[in-house]
Amino acid sequence: MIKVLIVEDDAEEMRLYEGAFQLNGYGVDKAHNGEEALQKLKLAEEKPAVIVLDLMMPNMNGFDVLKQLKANPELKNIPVAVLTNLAQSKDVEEVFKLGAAIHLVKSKFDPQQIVEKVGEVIKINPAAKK
Amino acid sequence: MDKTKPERKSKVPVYVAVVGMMLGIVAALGYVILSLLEEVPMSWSIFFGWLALLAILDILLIYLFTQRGWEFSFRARAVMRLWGGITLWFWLFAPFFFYLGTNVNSLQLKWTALTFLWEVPVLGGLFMLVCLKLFRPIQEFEAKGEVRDPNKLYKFILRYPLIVGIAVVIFAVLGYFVASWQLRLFAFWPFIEQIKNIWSGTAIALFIGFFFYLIFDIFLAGLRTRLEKNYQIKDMTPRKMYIRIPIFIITITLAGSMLVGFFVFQSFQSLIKHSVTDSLTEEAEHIRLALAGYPPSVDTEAVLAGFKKGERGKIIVLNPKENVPAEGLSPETVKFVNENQAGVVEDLKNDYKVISFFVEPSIGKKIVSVAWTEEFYAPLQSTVSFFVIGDSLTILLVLGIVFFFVTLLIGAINSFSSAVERAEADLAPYTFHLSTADELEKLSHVFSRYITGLEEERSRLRASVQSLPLGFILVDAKQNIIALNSATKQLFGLSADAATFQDIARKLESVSLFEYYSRCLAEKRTIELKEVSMNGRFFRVFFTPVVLSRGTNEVIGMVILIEDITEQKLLDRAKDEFLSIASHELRTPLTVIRGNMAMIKQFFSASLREKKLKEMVDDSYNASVRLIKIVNDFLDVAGLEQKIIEFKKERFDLVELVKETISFQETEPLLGAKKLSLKLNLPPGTIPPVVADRDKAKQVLVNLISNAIEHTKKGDITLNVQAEDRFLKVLVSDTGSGIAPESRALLFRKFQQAGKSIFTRDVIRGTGLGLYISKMLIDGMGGKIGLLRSEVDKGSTFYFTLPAAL
Repeated sequence: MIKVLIVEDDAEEMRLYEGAFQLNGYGVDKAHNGEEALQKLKLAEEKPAVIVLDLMMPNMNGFDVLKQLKANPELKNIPVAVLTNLAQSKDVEEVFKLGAAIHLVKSKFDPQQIVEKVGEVIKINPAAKK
Repeated sequence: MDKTKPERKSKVPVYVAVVGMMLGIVAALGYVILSLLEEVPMSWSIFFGWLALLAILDILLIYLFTQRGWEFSFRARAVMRLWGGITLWFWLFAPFFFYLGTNVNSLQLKWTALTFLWEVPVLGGLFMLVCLKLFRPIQEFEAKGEVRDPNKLYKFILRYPLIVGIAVVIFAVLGYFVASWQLRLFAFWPFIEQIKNIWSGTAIALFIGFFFYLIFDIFLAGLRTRLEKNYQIKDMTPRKMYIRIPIFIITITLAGSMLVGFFVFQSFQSLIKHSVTDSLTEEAEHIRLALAGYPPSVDTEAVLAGFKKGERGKIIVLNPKENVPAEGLSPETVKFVNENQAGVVEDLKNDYKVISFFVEPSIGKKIVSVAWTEEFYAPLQSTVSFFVIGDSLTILLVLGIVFFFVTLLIGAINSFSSAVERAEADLAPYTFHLSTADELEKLSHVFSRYITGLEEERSRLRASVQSLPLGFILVDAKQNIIALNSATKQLFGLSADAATFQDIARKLESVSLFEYYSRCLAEKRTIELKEVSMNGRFFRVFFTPVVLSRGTNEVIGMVILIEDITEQKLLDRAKDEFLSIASHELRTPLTVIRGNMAMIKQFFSASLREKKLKEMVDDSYNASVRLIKIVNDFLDVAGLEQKIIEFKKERFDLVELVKETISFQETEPLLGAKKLSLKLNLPPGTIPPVVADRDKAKQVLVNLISNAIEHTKKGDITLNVQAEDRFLKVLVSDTGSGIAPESRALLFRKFQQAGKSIFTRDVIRGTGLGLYISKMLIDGMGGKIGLLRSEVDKGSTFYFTLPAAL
């Protein structure tokens, strides 16, 4: 079973994407904020194949999480799919600069499409295949 | 005169005239010498004839020179002024005065002629040499335009005309002295005539001195101005009108009254001569009667001794054929007495004498009576006293009046300059009033009006600058602060009035103020700094050169305008954040609704056996998709209108983008159930890439394609890509409903659809923002968008262009 870590503060959205990934046969790990995500990742024995990361979150936003992930040698190889409603080009540029594998706008796609696109990221990324 | 340079003229005629002048002098001198040798005659008319010739030659020379003055050196122009001044005086005016005011015999006339002819070139030449020697520093400055001590030279240029004037007086008086002694030594001129000559010469010398002073003052005024400009000598006004004008007046009045005195004396002499002549003629009758009463044996000499005139008077009795003794008499007198029986003659050898003679028939002898006119000058004493007293009083009176007027004038000028000085120092009152009821008062009115106007204008300007909400600093070309308004003081926290450019530079430390200052002045254009931070606030700063609009376009300084944009920046930031928050907060719940509906449709369709329920889920899903699109459109419009959305400049393949956009994957959700075919036509050859924002270009393309699909029921959607000039053009044609002509104008407006009226909504539901957004996006990328053609029920073609990569 391929594991996905979803980092999302909004409970409804969390349920939505959790359901979508589960219905498509993924194992889902959840983190409700940035700190929790980093904590879980550091402790996890089996690292997820992909991290689905929201950007606008309280305390530590997605940009900071991304920065810390990429600064950590153990975690930097896990592909990150940014899933957000921040779609201004400067934000998109920023997440790619920080090392995100893909930027997905929540409102543009159905959950199924998102699962498919995230699936593509896992396929491409050799580090994530394990 | 020297500034404009007309066409070049030859100097030769001037040289010819100089030679002519020299030949004229030599010829005249030669003639006079011959007359002294008794070879040729001499008279006043001959004398004036020669002088006339010289004067004509001289005027010709001066005329030719003035026509070509600019061809000659500054020194040559000074020489011509000196020469012209001397010759015109001594060959034109002075001989007339001499002729009218002095008495000479024929020998003395010849010597006079000689004197006029040799003294003008010789003494005049000496005078010119002296003046030119002193002229050297002025001449050097004129040639090089530079001098070691400009102040000293300035004062010397001021003094030079006076030196020339005094020199000419000295040389002229010297000339008259020499001339008088020459006539005395060689032509036995009476002492009294000698004195008269020196007297009149001094008067003439004063006139000519004054004349030279004026000429040279005017001649050198231009040079003085040049010196002031070159060395920026300021406030050099050492001359005082109340000294100069009275000195001018005294000089002229003194010289004038000396000449008047001279002519009065001459007429007195003439009067005495006539009275002596008359008394001698009467005396002749008495002598005749007296002799008639005596026998012939009586000693005639003894009888006649009682009839002699004055102390020195003589009565000479001549036997027939006996000549009068030549001693003390000029040859022409001797000749006249010997050759005539009776007559009266004046004699000018050594003394001014009147001689009366007749032949007394009773004794058959010629009786000659000689009288010395000088012995009868006694009445002159009182005349002289009257004249001196009267003349002195007149001069004093004139001086008094002159002082009065000069004081008046100076008073006016002083009130004038102090009013200007007050205006300069910004101290009221700027006006002044004179009550002379003449031009001076008029001047005071005009000036007061003008300066009041200026002052009002200045106050208005100052008030405008002060009330500007922007910081305003006016700096001159030497980095002095000329004006600084209160907004600037607040911005910089300046308390003192006297802020320097350095103070401002220190406050604005994040900006290299001196560098911008030099750049602004050098490039003569406004430099704008969009954002400068100081003490946690943000400013926009403009550096604008102050260029003189009249004349040379000289840059005389710079204006610095400082706008506090802190509030604006905060507002921008708030807008920016609002948009981000709004995007997030609006989209999040919608995403959840849409996502859940989609998931229900996909994974739980089995549970939706109830047809009505399935319909409701479908409707909710579609409505949420539409709502998200509307929200996205609104956010796009807000971002584009507020210019928050930034455009990237990427180089990408437009054809590839078009292919991607019309791929089945992408168009499937748009087409839905419609059976439309999408075609792409490409021109032959390679198509260059474009420079634009790829995502935004795609957004526009998707908008045009989805519009085409929405409005087309059956047929094709055809895309064409063309290269056009420096742009690539994409055309999207459909076979749909088309757009009525009256609706076309509103197409790219906000909230407009090609419906008939705002109440008649299109059957296709939308926000009416799609084309408006597309237009803003294409504008933002430097392209064009429009409707190429449309026909109702046959279809439309929309196009857009993007700049090709060069």
